[in-house]
Amino acid sequence: MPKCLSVLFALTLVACGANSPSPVPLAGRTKSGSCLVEVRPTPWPIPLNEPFELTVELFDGVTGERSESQVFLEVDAWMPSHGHGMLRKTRVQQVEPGQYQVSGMLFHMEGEWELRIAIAQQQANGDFFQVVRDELALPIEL
Amino acid sequence: MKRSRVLLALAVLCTASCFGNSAAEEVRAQFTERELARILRTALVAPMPDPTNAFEGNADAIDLGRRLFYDQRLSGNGEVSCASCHDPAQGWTDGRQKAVGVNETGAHTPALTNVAHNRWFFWDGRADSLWSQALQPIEHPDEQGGSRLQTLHLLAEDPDLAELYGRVFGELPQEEVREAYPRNGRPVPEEPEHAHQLAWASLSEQQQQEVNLIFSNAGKAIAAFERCITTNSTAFDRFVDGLRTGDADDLAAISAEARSGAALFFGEARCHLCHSGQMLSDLEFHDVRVPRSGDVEPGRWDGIAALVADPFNGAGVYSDDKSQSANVELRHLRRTRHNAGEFKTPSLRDVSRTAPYMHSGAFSTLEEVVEHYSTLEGAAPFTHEDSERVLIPLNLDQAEKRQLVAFLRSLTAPLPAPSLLAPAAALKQSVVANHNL
Repeated sequence: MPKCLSVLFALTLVACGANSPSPVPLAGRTKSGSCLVEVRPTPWPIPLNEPFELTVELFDGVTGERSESQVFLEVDAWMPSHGHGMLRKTRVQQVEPGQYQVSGMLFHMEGEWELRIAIAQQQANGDFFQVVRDELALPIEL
Repeated sequence: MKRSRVLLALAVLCTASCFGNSAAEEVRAQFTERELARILRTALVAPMPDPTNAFEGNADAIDLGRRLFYDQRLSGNGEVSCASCHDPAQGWTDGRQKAVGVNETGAHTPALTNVAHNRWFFWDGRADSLWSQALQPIEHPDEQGGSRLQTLHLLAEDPDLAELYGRVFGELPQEEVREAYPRNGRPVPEEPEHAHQLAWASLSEQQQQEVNLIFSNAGKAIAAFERCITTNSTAFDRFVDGLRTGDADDLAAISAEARSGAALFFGEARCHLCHSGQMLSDLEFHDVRVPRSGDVEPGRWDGIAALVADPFNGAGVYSDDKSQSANVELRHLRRTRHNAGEFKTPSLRDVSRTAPYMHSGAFSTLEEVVEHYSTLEGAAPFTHEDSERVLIPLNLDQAEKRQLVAFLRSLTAPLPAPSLLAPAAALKQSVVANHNL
């Protein structure tokens, strides 16, 4: 085997063996614009029909600083052109303020997916509290 | 997971380094890069271990499972074994639209080739392991019509089975203990006066647990055997090897017509959306509008409810996986209104031997299946308006239909090895083979 091919071979094996997250996060702003969301799937690229996880980070939409707010996250995925979504429900765990780990992700079909993230937050409104819900959808091509 | 990705990388590298000859280039040029990647993902590797069954690789468990698989004495009338419907000579199915056990059942028999690769079992996925699947037909009143108490007595009273069981799982209860157990019995909570239920209710909780443990072990032995029903030596597998290595003989393992069918299957016809990966199945559930005469079938909707309620599921006390990560699939299970009318995508490996087709056996031939997807004439209405929107008529011409069928026939596996046949049948086949030498 030529030397350059051996090096390529070794590099590819290392790359395939690594269970590393995506080097560049998928990112978007919620509908209200108040929150920036970064998502890193692990492993990357996302494997077809195999489980993967997400690390989700929330940042203030104005200052860009990591969000310290106490929020509840819902994560799901949908295939707009198919009319159905992911067959599993996810579990979201807070790792630290503004950072969440999502398990239970699995894209069972090839095609265009839409990662749907909903953020619910309790806000004071005069004498009472209300739950404010914000959301975003990130396209992912598998 | 890592293994399959490494294999894909290896495949791409080998393909790049070995495609020096023009014949290989010509074959490869029939496919786009994405189609090639999809085809290479069909390369079959060993199934993932099932941590809920600690005995799956045990030679004695496999032997015991093989004997139980072919043993008619597990049935209520002494005439039906697992193999009555899962006939190795017929692609591990029975050739019938609806299976016939002690009575005619409402289900079409699924094939068992490479069955251990599945994520869920039965058309509606109401079992999450091969061993818990194996238990249900034994007790189904229309399938084998037996019971867990009957299984216990059979294991204990047949010296060969008892010895094998003892080697794998430990000693069965002594005769004086077994005398307290009725000959037949199983839980039938929906029929409190059923003889099996009355017998079951006569046992203490501790006795019931002991019986359940022995019954689950019988299932684990059968699963250990069924895990051996595997083949990756179809003509298409050889062709895939050829794509990797450039070997001219392997590339010629399927006809030009079948190659064109593969290009359609993994390309324009988009069959690969559901029929992907090693099993040519996404192992999940869809409503593909199979013609039906009655109401919407519950399908996966009922399957999920039954799975969650099953004491032999991966979260149950009879599972051998006690780790923190146990039962991860069950934890993420989701039941939605879309599940009604959905059935599991069947594997297409060895599909030419497993007619009739679809969960209801609605189509007699592969040609009829292809025609269904080509026109959707007579298709059942979608269960939900927003169901599988990508399911639209393919409008195939006659040549394309022939190509798809030729591709499907290239997935035919060799006949099962003697080690998978009933002990007597294996001996007969071996004698015939020797005679022909």
